[in-house]
Amino acid sequence: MWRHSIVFCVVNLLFVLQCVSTEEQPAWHWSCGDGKCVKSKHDPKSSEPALSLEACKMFCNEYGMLWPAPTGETDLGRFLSKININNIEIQILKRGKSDDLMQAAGRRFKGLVGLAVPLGLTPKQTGKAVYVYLVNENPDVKEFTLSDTDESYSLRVSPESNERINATIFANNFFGIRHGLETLSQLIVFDDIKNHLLIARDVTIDDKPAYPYRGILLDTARNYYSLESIMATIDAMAAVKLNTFHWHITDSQSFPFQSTKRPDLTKYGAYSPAKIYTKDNIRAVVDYALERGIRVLPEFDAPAHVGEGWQDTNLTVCFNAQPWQSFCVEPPCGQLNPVRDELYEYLEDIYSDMAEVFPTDIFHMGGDEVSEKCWNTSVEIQQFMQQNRWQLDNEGFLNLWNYFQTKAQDKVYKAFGKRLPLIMWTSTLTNYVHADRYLNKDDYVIQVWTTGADPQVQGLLKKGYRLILSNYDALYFDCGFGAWVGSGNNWCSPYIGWQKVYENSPKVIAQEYYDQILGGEAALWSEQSDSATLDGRLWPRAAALAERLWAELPTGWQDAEKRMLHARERLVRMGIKAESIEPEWCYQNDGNCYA
Amino acid sequence: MEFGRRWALVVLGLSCSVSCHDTTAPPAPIVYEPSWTYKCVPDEGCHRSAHPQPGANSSSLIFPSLDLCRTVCGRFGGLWPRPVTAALSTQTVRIHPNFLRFDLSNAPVETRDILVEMTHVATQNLIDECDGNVSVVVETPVVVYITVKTTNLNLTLDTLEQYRLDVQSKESNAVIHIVAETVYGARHALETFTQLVSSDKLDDGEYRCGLRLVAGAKIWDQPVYKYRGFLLDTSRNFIPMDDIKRMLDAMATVKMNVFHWHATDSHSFPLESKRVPQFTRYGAYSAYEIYSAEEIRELIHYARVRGIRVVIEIDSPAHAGNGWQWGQEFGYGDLAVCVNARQWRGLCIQPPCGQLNPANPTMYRVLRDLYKDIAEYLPKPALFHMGGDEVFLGCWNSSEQILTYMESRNYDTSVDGFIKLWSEFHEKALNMWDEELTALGQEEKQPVMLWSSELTQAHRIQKHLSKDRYIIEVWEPINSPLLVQLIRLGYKVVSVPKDIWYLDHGFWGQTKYSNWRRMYAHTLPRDPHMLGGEVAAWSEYVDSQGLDTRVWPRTAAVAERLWADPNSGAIAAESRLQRLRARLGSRGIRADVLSPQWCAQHDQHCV
Repeated sequence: MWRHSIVFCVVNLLFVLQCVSTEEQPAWHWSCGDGKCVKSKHDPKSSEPALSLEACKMFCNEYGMLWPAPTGETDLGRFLSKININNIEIQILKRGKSDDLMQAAGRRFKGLVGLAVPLGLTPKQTGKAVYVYLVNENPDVKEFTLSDTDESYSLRVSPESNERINATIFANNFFGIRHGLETLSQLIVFDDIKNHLLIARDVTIDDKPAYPYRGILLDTARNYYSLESIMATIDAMAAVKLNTFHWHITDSQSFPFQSTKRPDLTKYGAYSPAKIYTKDNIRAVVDYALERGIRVLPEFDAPAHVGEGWQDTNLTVCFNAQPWQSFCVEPPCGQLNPVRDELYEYLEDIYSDMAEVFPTDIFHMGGDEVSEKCWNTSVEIQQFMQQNRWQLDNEGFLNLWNYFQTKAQDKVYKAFGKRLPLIMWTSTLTNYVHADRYLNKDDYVIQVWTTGADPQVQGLLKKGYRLILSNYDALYFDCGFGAWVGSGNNWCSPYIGWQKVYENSPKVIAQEYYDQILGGEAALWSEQSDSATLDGRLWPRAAALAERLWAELPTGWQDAEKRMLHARERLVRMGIKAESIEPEWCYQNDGNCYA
Repeated sequence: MEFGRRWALVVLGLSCSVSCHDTTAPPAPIVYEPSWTYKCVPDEGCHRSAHPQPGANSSSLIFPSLDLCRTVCGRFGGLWPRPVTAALSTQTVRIHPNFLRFDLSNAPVETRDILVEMTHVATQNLIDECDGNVSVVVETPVVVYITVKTTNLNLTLDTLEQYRLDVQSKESNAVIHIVAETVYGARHALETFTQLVSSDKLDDGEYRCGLRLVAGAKIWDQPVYKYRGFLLDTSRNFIPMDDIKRMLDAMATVKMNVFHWHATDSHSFPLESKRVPQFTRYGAYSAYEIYSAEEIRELIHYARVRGIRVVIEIDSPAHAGNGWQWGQEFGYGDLAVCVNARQWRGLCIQPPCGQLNPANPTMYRVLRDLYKDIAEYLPKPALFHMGGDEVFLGCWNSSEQILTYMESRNYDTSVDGFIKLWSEFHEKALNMWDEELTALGQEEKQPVMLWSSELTQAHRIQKHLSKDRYIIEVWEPINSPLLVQLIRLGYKVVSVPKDIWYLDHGFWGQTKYSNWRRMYAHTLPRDPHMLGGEVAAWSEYVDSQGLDTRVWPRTAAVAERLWADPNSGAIAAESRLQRLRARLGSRGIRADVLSPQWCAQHDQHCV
C-alpha cells in the first residue's frame, strides 16, 4: 500500500529540469567537495556534466544516501548508470515456503523504485535493464526467533553488459533478502537534469544489524489509531529496517482488542463500536508486517493499567477511583484483583485470543506501575495476604504481585502452547536487588524505561538479564508537550530531538555487558497522540533510532545529518508526514547549518 | 467548487448536491451495536454513560453523540471562541442543508456578492459536519435572514465585527436572524451559526449522519481585541498554497482576522514579483516552490471571504539573502551583503545570513519595484509589515562599501552610527511605500508594522520611528517591560510574546513548549493602543507535513483569549476546545489531540 500524497518537498528536485530550457532561468547543480554537496549556478551552455542533488549525494559520502548505514564492507563505486524503470526483473533463485513473502518484498521494491520519481513525471524509457537475483539459502524460513534470526545479507551490483545491470542479494533467509532489497532501492535515484532513473553501478555491500530487536511501541489504548495509520507506520519501519512493532493494545482507558472469548471486555472497553481491532484487522496487520520483515509483538499490560472493559467483571480494584493521584499514575485507575481465581480464567482467554492472531516468538506481559495503595483498598486482598502471612508492606505486595505473575506466566505458556520468552517493564518487581527471586532470567527479558544512567541497568545486566532499552530520556517520543492532566508540560519534557535519539547508544550504556542487550525501542505513549499526529511524533526520529540499532556507529549525529535529511525526504515520499528537522535550505546546502 | 454569483434570495439547496456524493463508510466491525450515550452535567460537561445503550436516542440531557452533547451543554455550548453573551436551548431540531436558505434582502446590494460567498462557506461547513454526506434528510425549512447596516467592505483595524444572532424554531421551521454592522460581522455570525449545529452520527461504523441545530439561541457578540493574528513563515520551509488556505479555514473557524504572511527571509524568496522576477528565480527553493501573483491575489480574496486581512511581510533590512544575491551578475552591485556567509556567527542569527545593502542606491530601486507589486497585491487600505528585526551590525560592519558610505554620511562606526544607518533605511523604505500607495490612489497614509528591535527600545524609538506611522509588533518575552513602555509612549502595539505564543518553542535549544493552557492563560493589557496579539509559526522545524498539528488547536486558545478575553481559565474552556478539535477535524484540519479519548468522553475527570 503506497500512500501518495501531494508532496511539494519532492518536486523541488525537478526544477533544474524545467529551468535548463530557458536561458534566463538559472539552474542549480551540485558538486561534491569535502564530503558536502555544494550548490552552484549551472550554465546550460557548459559542457561539464551537471549533477542533480541526489546524484551528488550518492557518492559524496561513504554511505551515500543509505539509511541505516551498512555495517560491513560498503563500496558504492563511482558511477551511476541509466536504467529503465519498466525493465526491472526480479528472479527468485531458490523456492520454498517463504515464496509469498519474497514476492511481496519484490513488489514493495518496485513500489519504492517508483517513488524515486517525483509525482507527475515519467522518466525516459531508455537505459539498461536491471536483473535482481534473490539468493535465499533457507527459503523455508518465515518465522522470527528472538536473537537467532539472521538478518544479514550481501548485495552486489555490477554491469553485465551494455544493456543490463545485475544486482544480486545473498541472504540466509527471507528477512535478509528483504533488507537487501530495501538497500538496493536506496541506490536508485531519479536525476532531474537527465530525466532518468539511475543506479549505482558497481556496488559491494555486506550488512547485518548490530542488535536483533529494533522496535517501535504504539499505545492504541489512550487514543485509537486507524488501521491505515498502523499500516503506514509499518511501511516506514521497513524502510529503515526496524523489525518489531510492539502493540500496547490495551490500557485502563480503553480495550480495543477484540476478545472473542470474553466479548464484554471489548464491548464495554472500546471507545466506540468502530474503534475495535477485530481479529481480522489484526491478522491483516500481522501479515502486512511479516511481508516487511517485522514481527508484531502483542502486550497485555497487567496487573496494573487495566480498567475500561472490566467494569462488570468484579475482577478489578479501584477502578476509576478518586482522587486518582492516590491510586495510579493517571486517570482512570484500575488494577486486577489477583486473589480471584476467576481472573486467571479471564487471562487465559485473553492470552488465547492473542495467541490466535499473533503468531509471535515473544510476548509482553507489561507489569509496570503497580500501585500498592490500590490493592490495599481491598479488604479481600488484605485478608488473602494475611492468610499467606504476608505483611501489608512493600515485600508483602511484591509477594502478591509475584503470586499473580507466576500464575499469569503459566497461562501465557498454556495459551501459546510453548514457553516463549516473556518481556516485562522495569518496575519494583524487577529491581535488580531482588529481581531474581521473582523472575527467572532465562524466562524474562526486561524492557528498561527508566533513564539510561539508572543504576538498575547495570544491576540487571550484572545479574545476567537480557535487556531491551526504551530509556525514557531518549526514547519516549511523547515527551515535550503540554501536560494533559495537571499543569505545565508533560512529565518527561522536554521534547527529544533526533540528535539525542541518535546518540543513545546501548553499547555505551551497557559497556561490558553489551551482548546482553537485545536492542532498543522507541515508545509512543498516546495520551497526546492519535492518527492525526502519529507520523510526526514517530518520524523521522524513529529513523535515528533505526540507524543506532542497526549500525551502532561510533560517530555522532553530525556525521549522519546529511543522510538523515535525505532519509526524512524518503519517508515523505512514502506518504509519511514526517516532521521537518531543518529548513529546506539546509537540505540543499550540505553541512552549512548547525554542524 | 463552482458557485454562481447570485445576490438576491439565494437558495443553496441544489448546489450542495454537487458535493453530496456517497461516502462509503468502513464496514461495521462486529456485533457491538449498542453505543455509548452522553449526559450533559451542568458545570462539568459531557459524561459517557456507564454502559452502552441499545438504540440510543436523545432525551432531555442524554445524547447519542458526544459532539451533540457538547453543542448544547453549558452556557456557551460548543462555541469557540465564546461569545459575550449567549442563551442556548438544550433542545435541538433536525435540519438539512438542502432546505437551508439565506435571505439577503436586508443587506445592501454592494455587500451581497461577498455575502453569498460567505454563506457558501457556512453551508459547506455544515455539510462537513457529516463528512460531506448529510444522509438523514428532513425537509424543515431553515431561513437565515441577514441584515447588514453598512456598505463598507474594507477590512481595517476599525472594522466593526459585532453581530447579533437569534435562532428560533418550531416543529415546522427554523428562523435565524443575523444583524451586523458589516459583512465581516455577519460572517462571524454565520460561523457562530454553524457552531450551533452538530452531527448526531453514532460512532458505530454504520454510516448515517444527520444535522441538529440548537433549537433556540440568543447571542450578542463582539471581539475584545481588534488584531487577532496568525503568522506563518513560508521561507524557512515552503508551505504549499493549499496548506495556507487550510490555515485560513481554521482561522476563520476561531474568528481570527489577520494572516501575517512572513513571506520571505534569508533562506528563500518564494513570493513572485512581476517587476523583479529575479527574486524567485534566485530565491525560491525550486520552480515549484513559488507563490505566483495570481495565487497571491486569490489567497487574499479567499481570506477576505473568511473575514481575514492578509498582511504581507517583507522582512528587511536583515533576514534578506537568497533572492537578493544576483546584483553583481546584473551590474547592480551587491543588493545584500554577507549572503550565505559560511562563518555565519556574528553576522546573523542563523544560517544563511543576508542583510540588505543600504549603501547601494540600486537596492532601493529594486526594493521600490517590489513594493509596487505588493501595494498592488494588498487590499486597500493596505497594511504592510516591513520586518525590521535582528539587524546584525557586524554584518554591515563587514562591508567596505557600507563603511565608506557611512563615512560619507558622517555616521561613525559605533553602535549609534549603525543605528542611524538602520533608521535611515526604514525612513527611505517608508517613504517609498507611501509614494507607491499614493500612486495607486490611496490618499491617507497607512500604518506600517515593524518588529521590536534595538531600534524600538524605549529610550531610542522616538528618535527614529514615528508613533503615528508605525505599529510595533513586540516579540519580547512576557517579563520584558517593552510592551507597556511603548504603550505609554503612545505607540500602537501588537503582542507576540515569544516564550508563550511562538509555536516552534520546545523543539530547539532551551526553549519551552507552550501548551494550550499556558497560551490561553496569558492576557494582554487592556488599552486602546493594545491592538491585539498574534501566534507565530516559524518554519525552521515545520513544513507542510507537520503544519496542522503544530498550529492547531493551540492557536485556537489564543484566538479565544483575543476575542473574548474571558476571566475563567483553561479548565472551564477544555470541553469546548475538545468540541473545536473535532470541528476542525471535520473541516479537514488535522489538529493535535488534547488528551486520551477517555478524558474527552469524561469531561473534568482528567484534572
